[in-house]
Amino acid sequence: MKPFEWNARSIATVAIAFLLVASVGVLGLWLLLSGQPGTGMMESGEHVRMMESADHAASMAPGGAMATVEPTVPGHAMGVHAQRGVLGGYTGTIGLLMILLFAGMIGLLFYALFRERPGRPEAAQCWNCRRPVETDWSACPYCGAALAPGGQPLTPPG
Amino acid sequence: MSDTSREDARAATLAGKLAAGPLALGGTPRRPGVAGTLERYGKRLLLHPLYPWAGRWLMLGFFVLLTYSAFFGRPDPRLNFATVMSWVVWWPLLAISYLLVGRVWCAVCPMGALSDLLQHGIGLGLKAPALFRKRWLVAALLGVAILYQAWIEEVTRASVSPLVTGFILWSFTVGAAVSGLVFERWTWCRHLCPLGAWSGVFAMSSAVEVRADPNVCLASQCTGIFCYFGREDRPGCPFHQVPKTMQTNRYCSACGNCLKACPNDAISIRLRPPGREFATQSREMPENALVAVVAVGVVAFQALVMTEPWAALRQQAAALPLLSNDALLYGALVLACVSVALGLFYLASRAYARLTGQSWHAEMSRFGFAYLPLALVAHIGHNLGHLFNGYALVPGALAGLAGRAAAPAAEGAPNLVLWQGLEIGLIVVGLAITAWAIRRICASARIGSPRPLAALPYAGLAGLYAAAFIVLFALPMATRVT
Repeated sequence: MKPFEWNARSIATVAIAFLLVASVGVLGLWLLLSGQPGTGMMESGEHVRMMESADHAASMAPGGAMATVEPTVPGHAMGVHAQRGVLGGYTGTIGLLMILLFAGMIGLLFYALFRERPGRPEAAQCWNCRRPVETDWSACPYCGAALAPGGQPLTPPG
Repeated sequence: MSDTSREDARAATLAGKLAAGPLALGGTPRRPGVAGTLERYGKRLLLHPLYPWAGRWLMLGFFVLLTYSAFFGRPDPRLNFATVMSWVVWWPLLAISYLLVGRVWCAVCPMGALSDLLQHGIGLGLKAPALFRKRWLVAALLGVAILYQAWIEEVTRASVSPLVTGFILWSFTVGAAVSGLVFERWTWCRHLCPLGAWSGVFAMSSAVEVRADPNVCLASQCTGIFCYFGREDRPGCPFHQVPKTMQTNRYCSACGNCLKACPNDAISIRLRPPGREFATQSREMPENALVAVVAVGVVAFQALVMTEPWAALRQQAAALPLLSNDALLYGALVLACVSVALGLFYLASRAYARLTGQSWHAEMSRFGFAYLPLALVAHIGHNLGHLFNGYALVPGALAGLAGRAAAPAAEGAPNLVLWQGLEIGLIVVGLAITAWAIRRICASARIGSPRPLAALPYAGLAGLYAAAFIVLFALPMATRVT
C-alpha cells in the first residue's frame, strides 16, 4: 500500500474529492429549497396531466399511433402521490437524502484523512501463525487455521 | 547450497506434492459433460485480457447516455431512456443475474469502473477505516443499505421521475468516485454501496462460484497469496478475499483478478446448486443469516406497495396525520414487513429448538440462509412482471433519446395469465430450493431426532412465505413507470 503523505498530488486529490462531495450537498440544498421543474411537477400533479395530454395528442394525430395508457391500478399514478412527502414533496425528500449523504461523506473523509494514520496495527491476526488476516476470513490463508471473527480460533486450541 | 541439501529440498517438494494427492499435480481437474464445458468457457472468459474492462467501458458509455437522458431527456417517464432502461429493463435483468452469475454486475458496474480509473490515476490508496470492520457496524450498514434501497424508490417515486433517477445515479457515482480517490480496492462496493449490499446477499444463492482448489495451492507451495495481494501488474481481489478459504459468494463479483494473478492455475469458476453454500459455512453469524429473512420481508414490501389493495389503503392512510407523509408511511411499512418475517422466523426457531433440544439462537444462525433462494426467486418473479409489462416502452425510449417525437406505447402484460403463471411457478421453484437447503442444513447439523419432524417448523415457514408471495402476485399490480 502506498504511504500517505501531504504533497501537491494528494492535496489535489483531496480537493477533487471534496468538490465532488460538495456537488452532492449543493444539489441537495438546491432541491430542498426550491421546487424544481421535473420533480416539481410531481407535487402538483402536472406530470399526470402532461402524460394524459401527450396520450391525447398521439391518439388525435392523423395516422398516429392510437396509444392509450390506463394505469393498471386506478389512482396509483402520479396524481395520488401529489402534495405528499417530506419537506416539499419528492423533490425535498431526495434533496434531504442528498444532504445526509453529503454530511456522511464529509465525515468519512475527515475520519479517513485525519483519524486513521498509516502504520496502524492490522485489524486482526491469525491466532496460530500471527500473520495479519481480514476479520471476515473463515481460515488463515498462510497456515490454514480455522478463524472466527477477529482472527480468533473457532474452538480454543488444545 | 550443497548438493545434499538441494536434493533434500527437492525431495521435500515432491513429498509435499504427493501428499496433496494425485489431483494436485497440475491445474484444477476438469469436470466432464455440459457443466464442465460451461465451466471451461467461463474460466476462459474470466482469464481473457479484455474482461471485465470491455464490459466496463460498454457500461460506462451506457451510463453516460443514461445520465444525460435523466437530466436533459424527455420528462415523460415512458419516453425517457433513463427511467425505462433503469427501472423496466435493467432492474429485472439484474435480479435474474443474481441467480445465474451472482454479483457479476459489480465487475462491470460503470460507477465501480469510474472509481477504479480515479484510483489508479490519482488515488491516495488509504486502507478502509477499521471502523468498517466492526461486526456490529457491518451488520448495521448492511441492514440500512437493504432497507434504504427499497424505501428510497417508493418515497421519491424515482421510477416515474427521470430527474430523481438522475440524482440517485449522481449520488452513487460521487460516492464511488470519492471512495476510489481516497481508499484502496473496492471500499465503496464492499462497505457502502446499497446496491452492492443487496447484490452480495442474493449472490449467495447463485448457481456459480469462483473458488481455488486448496490441493493445488498446497502442492504448489504457494505462500505469496497472489490471489489476494496480486502479482506484478495484476491486481489482487478487490473485495479482500482469498478464494482458497472463501466460503461465500457475498464478496465475489467474478471479476477474474484472482484467476489472472494466480501463477498455479488453482482457481476456477464452478457450477453449483443454488444455495449449496448455506450448508457448508463454518462461521455461523446470526446477523448474516437474519439478513436472508430480512430480504424476504423487503421483497414482500416491494411487491405489496404496487398492488391495488395497497393503493386503496394508502388513500385511507392519507387522512391520518402522520401516515400522510410518504417517508413515514413507507418507512413504517417496510419495517412492519421485515418484522413480520423475522417474528415468524423466531417462532419457527423456538419450535425447532424445542423439538431437537438445540439452542434456538444457534439454529437461527444456521437456518436463516435457507430462505434466501425463496426471496430471490420472488424478487425475480416480481421484476419479471414489470419487464413483461413494460418492454414495449423500449423503442419509444430509444427514439426519445435520439430526439425524435414518439407516442408512448401502451403498457400492460401481453398475456396476464402467462406471466402470473410464470411468477407463481418461480415461487414453487424457490420453495423447492429452500426445502432442499433446509434438508441439507439439517443433515449437516447432525441432529439426533427424526429429520422430517425436526424440520417441520422451518419447512412450514417456507410454505407460509411462499403462500404470501403467491397471494401478492395474484393481485392486480401497478406498472413501474406510470
